[in-house]
Parts: sequence; C-alpha cells; structure tokens
Amino acid sequence: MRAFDIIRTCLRNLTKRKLRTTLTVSGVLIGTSAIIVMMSLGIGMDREMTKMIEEWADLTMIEVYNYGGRTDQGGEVADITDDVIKEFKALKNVTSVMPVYTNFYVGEQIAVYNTNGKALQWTPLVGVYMDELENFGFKLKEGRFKQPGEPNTTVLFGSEVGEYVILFEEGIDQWGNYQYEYAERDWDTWELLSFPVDHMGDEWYIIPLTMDYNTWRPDYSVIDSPTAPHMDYNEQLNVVGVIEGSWSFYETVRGIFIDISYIKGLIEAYNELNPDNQYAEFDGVYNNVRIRVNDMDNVVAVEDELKAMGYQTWSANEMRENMRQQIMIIQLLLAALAAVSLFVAAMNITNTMIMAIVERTKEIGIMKVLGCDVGKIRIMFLGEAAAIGFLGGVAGIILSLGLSFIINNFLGTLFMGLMGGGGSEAIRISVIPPWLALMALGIAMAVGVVAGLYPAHRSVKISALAAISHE
Amino acid sequence: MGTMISVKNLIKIYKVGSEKVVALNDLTFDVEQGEICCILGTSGCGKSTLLNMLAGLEKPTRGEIVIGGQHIEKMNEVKVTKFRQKNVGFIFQSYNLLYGITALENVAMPLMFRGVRKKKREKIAFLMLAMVGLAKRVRHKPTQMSGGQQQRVGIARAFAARPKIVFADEPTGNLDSKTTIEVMELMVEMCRRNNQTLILVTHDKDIAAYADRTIRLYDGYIVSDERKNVEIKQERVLT
Repeated sequence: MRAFDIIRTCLRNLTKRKLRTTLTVSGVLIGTSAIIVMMSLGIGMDREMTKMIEEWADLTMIEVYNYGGRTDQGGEVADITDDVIKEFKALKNVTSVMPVYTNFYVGEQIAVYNTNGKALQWTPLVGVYMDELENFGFKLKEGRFKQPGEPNTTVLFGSEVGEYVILFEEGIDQWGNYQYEYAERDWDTWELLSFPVDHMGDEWYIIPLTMDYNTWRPDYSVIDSPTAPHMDYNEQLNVVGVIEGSWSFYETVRGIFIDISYIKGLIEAYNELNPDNQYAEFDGVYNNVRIRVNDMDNVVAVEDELKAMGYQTWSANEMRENMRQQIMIIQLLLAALAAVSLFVAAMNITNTMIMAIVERTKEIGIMKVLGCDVGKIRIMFLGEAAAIGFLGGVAGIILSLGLSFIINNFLGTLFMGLMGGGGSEAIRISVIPPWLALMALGIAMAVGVVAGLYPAHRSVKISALAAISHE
Repeated sequence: MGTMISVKNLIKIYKVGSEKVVALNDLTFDVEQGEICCILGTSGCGKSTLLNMLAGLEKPTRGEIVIGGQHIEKMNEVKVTKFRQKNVGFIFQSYNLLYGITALENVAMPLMFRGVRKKKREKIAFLMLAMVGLAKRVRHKPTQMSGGQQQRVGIARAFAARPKIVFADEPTGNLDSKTTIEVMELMVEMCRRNNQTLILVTHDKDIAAYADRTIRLYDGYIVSDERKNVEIKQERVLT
C-alpha cells in the first residue's frame, strides 16, 4: 500500500465524520492556543523586561570592587593593579577590562575651561585606559578614539559635557555667584538642542584649583592671573572625539575620559597646591574596574569567578536573572495550566479514535482478510490521530496569532495605562516567535500520535475472522 | 496440472467450556490447479471452519495445509496476510463490501493493498466491473445496489487481483434463485478464463452442480469426494 493511499484513506475517514472531527480538532485547538498564548506572555514579559533594563543598564558589563575580605581559599584578596587587570582579561568570555578612577570632579578640585571664558561644571574626570575604550565597546558621536602614542592630554568628552558652564571671566556678582550659561533641552525627547561650548572646536585647558574657604567655592580667579603658581600646571587638552552617551554608564554622558597615567600627575599637582586638603597619592591600585563580557548569558559565570577571587561585583544582569527566574516560574505555571487542556484534548482524541475503531471493526476485518498489512492499519489510525493533532495545531497557531494581536493592541495599552506608563512606545506583552509556533505544532502532533497509540493497537488486535462474521 | 492445495491430517478442536468439540476430524485431500471444488454440507458440519483454515484466518489444532508449496499453518499473522494479499480472493455470503466507498473503489481495494497506482488499479477495476455487467454503476455505492449487484461487485473484487485461489463462502446464500444462477455462471466463467482454483462452500446441492468436484462433509468427516458427471447425475435421478 502506497503512502499516498494511506494519507487519502485517513483524510477520507476524517471527512466522513465532519462534526466529530471538528469537535475533536477544537479540543486540540484550544489546548495548543492556550499553550502558545501562555508561553508568548512569558516571552513578551522577558523581552519587555530586558528592553527596559537595557535602557538604563548595560547588561554585558560587570563592575568590580575591592573592599578587602577573603578569597574562597581564605587568602588575602589581591589589590587590583594593572597585573590583576591582566588576570581579569584572561578569564573566559571577557573581552575587555578597564579601570575607572573618578575621584576628581571638574568644577570642584580642577577646572577645564576654554579660551572663550567658559569653565565646565558637573563633570567627573574619568581616568581609564584610553587605548582600551574602543575595544570596551564605546561608540563615538563624533571625532575619533585616541591613537596609541598620542600624549596623555588626549581626551574624549561625554555626549552632554558642557551642558552647564560658568562664565568665570565675568567674575562673581554681588551675592558671590558666578554667571552661568546652560544648554537648551527638549524636555519631551530629553535631547540637548544647543551647547554653550563647541566640544571639538574650542581650545581647552585643564588646571588644578584651590578652594576659597570663605565661600567654599573653587577659586577661578587664578586662571586669569598668568603669574599664579597654578599656571605651571595649566595644560592644553586635545579633544579628539565625543562619546555616544548612555545613561547605563553615567560617565559616558557627563564625564571627560582621560588616561589613568595623567591622573597620577594631577593628584601630585593638586596636593602641592592644596596643602590643607590632600588627596591620597595614586599607588597603582584601583577601586573600581569595569569588565566587558561577550554575551549577557555569560555574565553570571564571570561574576562567579570574580567572587571566588574575593572581589565584590555588581551587574544589571544579576537583577535581570532574578526577574527572569520569577517570570519563568509564572510562565511554567501558566504552561502547566495550558497543558491540562491539552491533556483533555488527548483523551478526547483517544475517545474519538476508539469510537471510530468500534464503528469500523467490520471494515478493518474485511481489509485484513483482503490482505491489508497489519502495520499499515496501525499507521492509518496513528495517521488519523496525528492529522487531528496537526489540524488542531495549525488552527491553534492561527487563533493564538489573533489572540496575541488583540492582547498587544487592546489589552497592552490598557495594561500600560493601569501601570501609569508613558506609552510613547507600543508595548508587546505577547510575543510568538517562529520556534514557539513550530514547537506547539510539534507538541499537538505528538499529542495526537500518543493519544492514537492505544486505539491503533486495538485496531491491530481486531480478529479478522470475528469482524467479518459478525453482522 | 499441479496440486494447488494439499491438506494432510487436518484436525480442529474447539473448547467450549470444559468440553471439547471436534470440528474437523483428520481431513486429507488435494485440490488441483484450475479445479472448481465444492465443499458441501449442512450447517455445523465444519465446512466454514475448513474454509477459514485454508484462508489462514484460523489455525488448525493439528495437521498441514500446503498452498502453492507454502505451509499456511506455520505462518504468523503478518505473513499470512501477505500471502492472502498475493494469492487469495474472497467472495462472502453477506458480500462484505465497504459501504462508504464506490463499487469501483471496492473492486480496486485488493490492488491498492498490493501497491498498484490509483490510475492503473481503477482501470483494472472498471474492466472487472464491466465484465460482471456493472459498467454503468461503477460510481455507485453498494448501498444503492440490489443483492445480486452487490455480489457481482464482490466477484469483481475477488478476481480483480488475479489471485491463484478464490474462496467463496455461500456466495448465493442471500440471493433469489434467478440471481443465483447468474452469479454462479459468472463465477465459474471468471474462474475458467484464467484457470483459477475456486473453493466453493455451500449447503445447497444445486450449487454443487457447477463444481468439477464435490467434497461432502458431515460432522467433521469427509463422507464422499466425487468428480462431476458421476455422483451429481445419480443424485438428480434420485430426486
């Protein structure tokens, strides 16, 4: 018997009992779409959550701190030096390691100013490995990265550096305040429209400041007096580029990136000028190191290794994993609920098939007597059950695509409204990736086949003799 | 002509409760190829049991059945089904057609089991139906046909795959006398055309008249085994 004939026979038997087939298929349809929709909610939640976290956090970055403590073996935790950083970099899945030194704030201990008389405010001076920035995944808004061999006065600006500047040449007013100027911001998109400074066009200088203890303000007057001792430390900065800022790494928005080697000299200069307010000398030990991991799924493993070495770590991924586990539990519960309906559908299929076999006992007997292979009879019934599963699966996919559409377009906005979300971006609570649809179809067919096993076995056991002799 | 069927010391015992009923008691006979052989007997004499055993639908308690050199009693269900598919055609008293499909599809069914393509098998089935005089009814379902027509479909089906042996179990049991004659003549003609062996099981002596040879069974024993022209004519004189 040819495969095509078997398929034809299956379909004929299914179409002969249209109502019964439709009802049985509906059972599978409900089960399949329940599973798809439930799973799609979990997937949608996971995606929304990941997207949300990505907006304010960098999921492939780990921050490492050293607060002392012990290693897993009970040894002393090694200070984070350049050598330890090399060890970090040798860890599996780590693509880049960078120390971050941010003790100095521009506008407090130091001044960065241009020749137009404007000095930057609210700007951390970030000591990093300048040659590692590109490898670490920084993106540029304009300009270029520092080339190896360029002097350590080569810097990159964060994207919003210069949002607020002091006009130090105007001096202080009658209340002791400096005049200032700030950028225009579009408060809807949160974008800066114009800067009071030209990042790459202006001529920039850096100088350590002293504190005016009467006003508790840094004293900018030194900049305009060429005889002041400060001028020994007045150096021109070479701004080669502006970083594409991201709030997941605050300094890329507000900071000035400079080579860590420059910071060392800066501390010495500052301490010399401020004998009453000393900074600890830079001894080659970092407190904060950022590690870039190749994939967010490997972050936990890298973190575990770092913890075993005795360091404290923080990553947004840790939080994401926690939330993800909660979502997974919800998803499993929902899927289990849906599985119940699929189980009912399976019993329904078995019942339908047993009825079909009872009705067709005589027919099966005749076929056996006329020489139809026993195996083909089994395949025929399994095929019928699988076809019910397949039809239910396909219908289930179609139904759940519709349900998903409704959920996303109507319930989604309702949901966001309840949560008080802005709703500028459409939220997709239910996501059906192709693999989910295919998996559901596979499950539906498998359920059909499994449900058909016993009836098919029964059909094979029918005695040809008894079947043809009973009227 | 060679021996088609060879039965040796065939015994069948049924257990009914604690009692043993001997249905067939040590039967031994041969059937030649191309022979039309009638197994005649009253109801309960064991003739249907014998037919079932020859067709491999039941297993004998003891004894041998060799058809075309193959031992039927030693085959498992899968093998015996395959054997039937290749060598055996069936005609039943109650026709045993499938009522959900057309006459054409019914006749083509044994060919389908053999793996013949749809186009080819339906062509053969059409020719067979034309041969039994139902060319105009090929698309009808058996429910729309009279008993005689249904049995002709049954005959077309039995011969469609050109089996070496055709078993007919009371083929005219549900038919009136006029139709009986038509059906019997048709069966004999079909058989003769391809030199096929026909085993005819009946309780009707008139039917036996169409056979070359008649084996009479009584309570599981062979009581007579006679060729045509001798025994049958004598009986007619007697009645």
